[in-house]
Amino acid sequence: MSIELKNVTYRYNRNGAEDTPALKDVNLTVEPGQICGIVGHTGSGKTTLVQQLNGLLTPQEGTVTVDGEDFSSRDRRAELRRKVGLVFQYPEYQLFEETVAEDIAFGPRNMGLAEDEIRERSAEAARMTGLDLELLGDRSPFELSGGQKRKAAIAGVLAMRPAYLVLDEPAAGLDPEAHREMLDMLVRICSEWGCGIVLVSHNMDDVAAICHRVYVMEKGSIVMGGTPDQVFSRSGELREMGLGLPAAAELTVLLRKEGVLPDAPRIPLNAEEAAELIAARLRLKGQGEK
Amino acid sequence: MIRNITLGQYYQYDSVIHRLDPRLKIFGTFLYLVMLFFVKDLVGYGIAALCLSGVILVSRVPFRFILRGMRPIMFILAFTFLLNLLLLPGTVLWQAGPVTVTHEGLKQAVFITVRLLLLVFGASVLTYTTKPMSLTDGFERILSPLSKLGVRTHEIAMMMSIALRFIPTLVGETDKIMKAQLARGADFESGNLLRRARNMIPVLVPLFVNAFRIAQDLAMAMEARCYSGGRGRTRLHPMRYGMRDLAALMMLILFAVLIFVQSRGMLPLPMIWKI
Repeated sequence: MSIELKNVTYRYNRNGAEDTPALKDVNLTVEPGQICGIVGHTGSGKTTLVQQLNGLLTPQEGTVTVDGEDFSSRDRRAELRRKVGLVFQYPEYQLFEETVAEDIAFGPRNMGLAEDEIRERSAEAARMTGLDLELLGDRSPFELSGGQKRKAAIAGVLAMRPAYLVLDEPAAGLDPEAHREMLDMLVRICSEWGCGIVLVSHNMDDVAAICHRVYVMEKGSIVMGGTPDQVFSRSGELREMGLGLPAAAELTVLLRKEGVLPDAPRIPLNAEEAAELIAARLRLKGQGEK
Repeated sequence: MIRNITLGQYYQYDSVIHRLDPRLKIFGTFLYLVMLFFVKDLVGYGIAALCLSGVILVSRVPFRFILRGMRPIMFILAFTFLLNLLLLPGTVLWQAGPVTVTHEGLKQAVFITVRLLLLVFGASVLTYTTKPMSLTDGFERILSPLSKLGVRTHEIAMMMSIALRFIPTLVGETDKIMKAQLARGADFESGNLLRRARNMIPVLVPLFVNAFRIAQDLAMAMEARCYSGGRGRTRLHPMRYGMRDLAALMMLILFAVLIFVQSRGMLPLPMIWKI
C-alpha cells in the first residue's frame, strides 16, 4: 500500500525532441502514515511531480502506481483519483458553490455517496481543518476571510477521505497563526487518519518540523532524499542549489563557522534544539571559566 | 488540457514586411481587401494572387502557416461553393436528376471561393507579420482623429491590448481550475450537452471571480504607476514612417491601379470569365 513512482520521465512538449524533460527518471515512494516533503526552487519540477501523483499528467516513461494500480485504465482512473487528494497552490481560488457547506460537499457528491454520508464527511473534514461549519456553513465562500477560504478549500478535498493527500504550498501567504494551524492539521491528518501526505514547500522550517522524509528536486530530478536530519546536514550542497536550511540549522552552521560550536553532534532543525545546544555549550564554557 | 489552443498567430521573423509601420500595414491590408471587390475576372484575381504571393514570399512566413488560416473557414468555403454551384439558374452544363450545374453557377462559385480565400490569406499576412501590441498601437493612431469627436480611442486601444495580453493568463487559469476540480471528482467529458454545460459551472464561477480579481489588481497597479489615460501620453517606441514605408505605399498604389485598370478592361490582357 503506497504511491510509487518508478523511473518517471515526463516532457510537456512531446514534439520537441531536444527540450529538457520536466521530470527525469524520478523514483519516489509515499507511504501511508508518513509525511513526505518535496523541496526545490521554482521550476525544479515540483508541480509537475504533484500532478503525476493523481494521474492529471501521465508519464511518457516509467510508471506511477497507487496501491499497485496505475492510471492507464479509464474506468479505474476516477476511482484512483479519489484515493489521492490534491490541494493545489492557493486552493481558495477554486471555490465556486453558493455556500461553504455545498462547496465542501462537491467532492463526496461526485463520488455518489448518500446524503447523510456526505453530511458526516463534510462535518468531519471541516472539524479537521478547524473550520466552524455550524457558523459558516450557510455563508457564501466568497464572504470568508483568506484563511477561512483556504480551510474550506482543503476541507473540500478532505471530505473525499483520500488515503493520500498531496499539498502544494498549503501555508503560502497565511499569517503566522494560520500557518502553524495548517502544519498542526497536517500532522493530525497523518496520525489520526493514517494518511500518506506529500508536502511541497519552499519553507525549510515547515519541512523540517513535520516531515518524516525529505526529497530535494533540481532540474526535474530528485537529487537528495532521506530523513530531515540526513538532508539538512548537507548544507553546502543545498546552498549550491540555491536552497536554504531551516533557520535553526543555518544558525548552527554559522556558529560552527565562527568556531563557537565546533562539536555540534547533529544539526538542530528547530529553535528548541538549537537553544538546547547553545545553552549546553554556554554552561560548559561557564564552568570552564570558574 | 487546453494548452493546444493557439491564439494570436504572430510569426516571429525579422523581414521587411515585419518591420513596416503597423499603420501602413493596416491601411495596406484594408486597401487590398477593398480592391478585391473591384476584380471582375480571373486575370484580376491572378494579379491579386501574384502580388499577395510576393508579399508572403518576402515576409518569410511559411506557406503552410498561411494555409492554416483557411482551416476555420473550410466549412463556410465548401458551403458557399456548393450553394453557388448548384442553385444558380442559367445555361445548363451538367445535369443528374434534380442536381444541375449551370455555367453561371460554376463561374460564381469559383469567383466567391477565390475571393474568400484571397481575403483570408491577405488578412492573415497582417496578423502573422504584426505583433498584437503593434497592431493595437497602429489602430489607436489610425483612429486618433476620432478622439476629436469624443471617441476614447486610446482607451479602446488599451482595452484591446489588455484583452490580448490576458488571453494566455486566463487560459492558464482555466487549466489550473479544471485540474483542481478534476481532482475533486468533477467530470467534464461525459453526459449530454446540457449536462456538460452544467458540469462547467465549477470551472466558470472561479474563472470569473479570478478574472475580476486580476482586473482589479491590474487597475490598481496601473494607477499606482500614475496611469491616467491617453492625454499627453508619449510612447516608448514612437511610430515613424520611413523610406521603407514610402516604397511599400508606392507598391500598394501600383497594385490598386493595376487591379482597377484590369477591371475596366484597359490592360493589354485578356478578360477571362468576365462578370
